[in-house]
Amino acid sequence: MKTVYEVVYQTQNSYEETVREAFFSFLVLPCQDQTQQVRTCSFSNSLDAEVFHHRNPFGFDVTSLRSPRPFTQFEFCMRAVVEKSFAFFPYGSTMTVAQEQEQLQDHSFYLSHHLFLSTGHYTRIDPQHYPQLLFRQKDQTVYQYLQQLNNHLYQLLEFDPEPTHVCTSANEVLQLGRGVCQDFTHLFIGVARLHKIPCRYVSGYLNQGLNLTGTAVMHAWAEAYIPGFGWQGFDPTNNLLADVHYIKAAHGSDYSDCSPIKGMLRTNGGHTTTYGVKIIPLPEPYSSQ
Amino acid sequence: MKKKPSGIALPEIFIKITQSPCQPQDAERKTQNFNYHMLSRIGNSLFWMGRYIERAEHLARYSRVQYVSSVDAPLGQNRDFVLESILDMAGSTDAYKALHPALEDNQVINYITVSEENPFSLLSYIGRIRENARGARDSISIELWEAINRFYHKVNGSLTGELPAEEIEFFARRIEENSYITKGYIENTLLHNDVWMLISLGIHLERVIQVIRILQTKLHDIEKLEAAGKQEGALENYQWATTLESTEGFDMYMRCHKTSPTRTHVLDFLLFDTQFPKSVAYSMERVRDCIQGIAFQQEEPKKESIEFMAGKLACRFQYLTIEEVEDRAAPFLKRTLDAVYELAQQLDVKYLKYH
Amino acid sequence: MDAALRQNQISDVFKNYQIPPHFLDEVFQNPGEAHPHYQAVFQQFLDFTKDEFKELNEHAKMSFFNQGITFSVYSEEAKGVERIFPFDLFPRIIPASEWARLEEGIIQRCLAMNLFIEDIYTKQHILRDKVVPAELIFSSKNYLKAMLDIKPVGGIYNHISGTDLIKHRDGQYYVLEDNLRCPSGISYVLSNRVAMKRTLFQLFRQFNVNTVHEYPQELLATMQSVAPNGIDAPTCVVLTPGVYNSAYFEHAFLALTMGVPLVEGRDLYVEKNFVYMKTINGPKRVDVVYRRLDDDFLDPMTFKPDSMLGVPGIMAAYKKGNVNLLNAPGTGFADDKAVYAYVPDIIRYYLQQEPILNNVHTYRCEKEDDLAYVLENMDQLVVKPVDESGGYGILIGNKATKEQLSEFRHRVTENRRKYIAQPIMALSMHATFIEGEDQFEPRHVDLRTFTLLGKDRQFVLKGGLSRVALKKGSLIVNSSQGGGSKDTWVLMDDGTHMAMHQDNGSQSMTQNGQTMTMGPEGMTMGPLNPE
Repeated sequence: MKTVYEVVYQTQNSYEETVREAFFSFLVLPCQDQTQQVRTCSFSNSLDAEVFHHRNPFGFDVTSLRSPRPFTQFEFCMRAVVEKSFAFFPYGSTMTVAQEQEQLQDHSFYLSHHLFLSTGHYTRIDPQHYPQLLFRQKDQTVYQYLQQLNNHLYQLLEFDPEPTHVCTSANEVLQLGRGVCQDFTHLFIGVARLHKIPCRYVSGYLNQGLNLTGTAVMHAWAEAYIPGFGWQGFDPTNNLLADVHYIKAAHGSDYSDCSPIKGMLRTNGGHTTTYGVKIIPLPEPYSSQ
Repeated sequence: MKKKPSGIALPEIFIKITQSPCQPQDAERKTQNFNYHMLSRIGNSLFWMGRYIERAEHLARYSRVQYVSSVDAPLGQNRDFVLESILDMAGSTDAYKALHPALEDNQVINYITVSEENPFSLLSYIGRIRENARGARDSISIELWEAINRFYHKVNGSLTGELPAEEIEFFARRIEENSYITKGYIENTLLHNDVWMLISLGIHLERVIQVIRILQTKLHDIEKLEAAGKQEGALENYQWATTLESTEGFDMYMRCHKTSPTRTHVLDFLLFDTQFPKSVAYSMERVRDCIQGIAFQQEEPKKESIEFMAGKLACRFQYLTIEEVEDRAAPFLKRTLDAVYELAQQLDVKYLKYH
Repeated sequence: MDAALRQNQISDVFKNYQIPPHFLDEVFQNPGEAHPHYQAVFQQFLDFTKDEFKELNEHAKMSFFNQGITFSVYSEEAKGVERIFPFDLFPRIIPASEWARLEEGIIQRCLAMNLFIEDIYTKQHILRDKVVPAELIFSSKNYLKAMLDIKPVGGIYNHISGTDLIKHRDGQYYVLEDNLRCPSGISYVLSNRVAMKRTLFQLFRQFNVNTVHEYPQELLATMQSVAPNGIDAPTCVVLTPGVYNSAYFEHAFLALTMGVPLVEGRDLYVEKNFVYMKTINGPKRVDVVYRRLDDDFLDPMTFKPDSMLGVPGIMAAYKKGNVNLLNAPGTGFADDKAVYAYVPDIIRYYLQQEPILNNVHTYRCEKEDDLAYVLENMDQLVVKPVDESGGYGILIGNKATKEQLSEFRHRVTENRRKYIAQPIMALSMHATFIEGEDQFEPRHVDLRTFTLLGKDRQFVLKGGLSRVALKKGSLIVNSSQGGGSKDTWVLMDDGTHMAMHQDNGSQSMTQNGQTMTMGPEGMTMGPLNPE
């Protein structure tokens, strides 16, 4: 079973003062993995600058462009047609709880996943907040536990874009009790890593036809490593597992690895930015192959 | 008997890194030097260093000559007239008036020379000369760098806050003389390569601009006198005499024209005399030579290149006569100035821009 | 002047010299009796009266001031004040045989460090084999995930290393620090030598001293050896943070002596993953960058996003192999002072050799046993933060007050990963001219060496920067904290030319830096000027 989406990422920026020189990098292209294929993609920008690509440290495609000519307005647009296929959830794990824990404690397992196990500014949780959290019961498998955690955080936090910003840490989120998908995700990652479960930050797109939270802009969710199975996506903002409606762009240790747009500008004034996404399931002829 | 080592002969004070034995010696290294490409940032610093040296010198001289001349000017020329003229030439009239309701000697001279209210004061230009020299420190000689440093310290060292109007004579002369000293080091201690040509380009381009501004200001001054009904020949000729003094051209003018300064002759001398180093025709030649000499890369069609623009301007001045422009001197000066600004702009955008 | 009278005066500068009882004296074995390799210099110095020596000293100082060889001091009181790095005329001399061993050890250490860095950013075998604790590496702020799986052209990470050594009471050299990021000081080495030659030219004639002036050419050759594939005549540049950086002089000096452009971040840009510089002749591709800019500032797209000093996109160009960076970003985890403790094991692991150079025993406060020992014996230890340089934040136990000790016990306990402790090393002492006292007194010295690794090439500069703690009794030699420096002579051979005196007046000459050269056969000179 496959669904084909058209994914559009668009941003408009206006600057108070002339930008003399600029360099932008975008991490917005849907990635390719076992469940998704990019059929076509195209980029356009208002500066007519030629884009170029490289792979970031996690292997995701970064699109860059440079403008040596002065400007005050900048628009960028990425369009991709993505084929998303169904993936199985990790039901009926082949490992016992003890086997799972043994793997999580293994040294070379730790080395292979260390980027998704150590905590930093975004994902560190101070012990004073532990009472608010949900910890794994001794007899729970990782998968069972993480599903509960997903639900727990969904209940714990209220979705509210007001109080948080791109630099908000898990500790701050716990104090506020509210936040956006980025904050839900960092908290999920922080708790999972307390259990030595490798867990990573994912940024991507969410099918807009389902009335879910976080579809107007790029969405964020977490992927955790389930022993004996592999990586599974959890979306604590919506209390869902990532499935065929989740189109992944990139993952990393935390938000700082996944920021969709980065730029360096030589200008004196401030600027305003707007951006939006469109994720449209394409009609049957595409989907039924 | 042990002899006192003669190695003690005391060392010279300067150890120039450029002459230390660490200098590249083998052939491979020389190749790299040969292919050396000057950074746009360095080019920018050199060009603007030249421009600011010339600008400061002309502004200082004009302020000094005009202000000092007002002391014994013929009747009918009042003090305000001179102060306005100085502000006009500096392009600071509006900025000054926004800050000060009245024209007052001390305020005007202070504003033009040292005032912190004025981002284009003489003092600020001296600071910019030094900053640009610092930015290009590795391209210029230590002698030039030190001359510029002394220039900066001499001008700043004598200052105690505000500059009273009567001190303009001393202050401006110091700038004029140090400008000549600096240009002497530029001429005589640098290799006459891209570095020197970029500074010279800045100097001569700015000289064209400043001389035209002086002429524009004087034409405007005379218009004002005429409008006030003071159409005395003596007063007008007096204006042309101070114009020549503002470009250090009075003596040489007299030797060429052997008649007291008149509008036609002064315009002719300052615009078209190819032997007088401050004439527009002379400086435009130098501008063209420098642009041709610097190996600027050209991508655009020939007619859009700065070399073409500079060549056209320089040639025009070689073959124009005063009779052709005399009647419409003001618009002619305006057009010329616009063309020079356009040339400077193109140069900046194409080759000297770095951020 | 009467010889006896002269003899009387010369003693002035040495007459109060006391051989330090608890430290090794580099110059003297007995009062008034220099070690054999110092004999000639000492004899020469005895020829100077106090006033002559003071005059020489002043002239040497002036030459530095006029060269603009200054550094800025970072402190609250003296914001950006420019100072001369004090220079001492008494050279530090290292015999050839002693140096040979040292050089071998330094190369061994640098090569092992390179393999270590490569391993950490690729397969991490050493972590899998638990020779070095993984947490130690992963918790270092200088371990950069942006470097994972990047393979620099030529396979070199630490192209330029500044290994710091000291000589202990036991006569052995110990490594104090491996500086693998942007070690500085080479410009002082070269200018010290110039100043020395100009001031005391006579001395050089009696020694076979190894030249240090080939360093810029060696550095350039190192850069060229690791140029991107397919580039025959690479364009090399030195990247500086700008004129206001404290080491700007050195950046300019290196660019000038290598004959390559000195660029700032704003002179460079990246287009289609290639690096270009903006010149008056249009864009010019840049192939190798000796960057004197910290990792954090190098690329705002990858590291500190608000850095205006760097070049956006340069890391991507680097990853693609279109430009090479010296040193590679992310080498800093390896010169972390907590990793230092493992260097002997690292050498054994990668090279299957015993380390040639000694390591100072290091207590890692992160470990329970070590922490207990450090807290107990802090008054006999040096406590250092692991990731600072420049001698900042260091506590020297036997010089500290009770309050300082208790404050450091607190600090260490609060942030255990951040601190290590070492026994207080007895840095050797060297006769140094002390202004004000106007005589020679013993002062502590260390030695910074400079090593270059390129593709299939290794080079250790035969010389280095002997840093002197000018404050009486002080062990801190950093220039930012009142240190000075000495020219460092590595002899070409031991035992000859030692005490040769020239008493032939016709061979004396006024110095002439242009005609003087030094080759493997010793010094040759241009035309002599008979008096």
